[in-house]
Amino acid sequence: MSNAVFSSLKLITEPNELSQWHTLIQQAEQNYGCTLNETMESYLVFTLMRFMRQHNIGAQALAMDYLKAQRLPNALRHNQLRDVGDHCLILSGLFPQRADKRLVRVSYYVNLGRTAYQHLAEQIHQTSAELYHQLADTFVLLMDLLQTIRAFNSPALQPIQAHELWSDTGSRRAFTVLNDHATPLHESLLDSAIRH
Amino acid sequence: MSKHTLDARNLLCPMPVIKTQNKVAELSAGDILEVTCTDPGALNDISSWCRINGHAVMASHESKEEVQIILRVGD
Repeated sequence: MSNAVFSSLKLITEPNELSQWHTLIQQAEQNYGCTLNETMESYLVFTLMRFMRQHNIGAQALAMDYLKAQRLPNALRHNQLRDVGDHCLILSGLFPQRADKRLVRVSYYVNLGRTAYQHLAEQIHQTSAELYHQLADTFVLLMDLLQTIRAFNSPALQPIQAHELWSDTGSRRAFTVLNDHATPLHESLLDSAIRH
Repeated sequence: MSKHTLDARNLLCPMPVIKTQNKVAELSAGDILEVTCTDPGALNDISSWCRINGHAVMASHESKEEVQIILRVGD
């Protein structure tokens, strides 16, 4: 973690899980330079709280869950699509290294998660549809924020993953990681570097 | 003290708890709120949220189709 990031972090002394996650998300927003609306912020907080009680994150085949959802009755299908979207968000944001273990790119989770939220938005009634459209549209931003939280503790992405993620999704956070790993060339070496 | 209701049916978690949070913000200490949901996960979410935020779950009822939670707004 760079010194700039470290110095911008405050000690989290909130008394409970809810406010701790809330503070972390707000720190990530500040660090990343964006502000989520209240509903998106709350969605992230409560989703994180829900997932922290689960010990099998990433254990299931999410694409299979997505496909199976198509054959379920309405209420169950909605639940399953929401679960696929949320899982993809948490995996791509907090555990992007799991993608390597599954031999897929991080953008695989981005595409699947976006599709699940989008699909859900098209099937659900008006009030919630807007939320799920918003989740699909801002998926990369939300993933970036979760990766920012992850990076408070340890690097979220390796350079190759960062390059793939940036070229596949345009992730700003992935671009920053790439930049941080770039080796600056001294001007005097530039000519020879180009020649070879 | 007044009684209020919140219809969070057909909303998937975590939306019921987000709606509950927004509704409680408009109420006063001692007010009673009855929340009706269809996502069974809401019972756990709303109970945890109440415990963390000092609101009391006075009763909850789970039927095949719906979950009802009655809470008293804390200070």
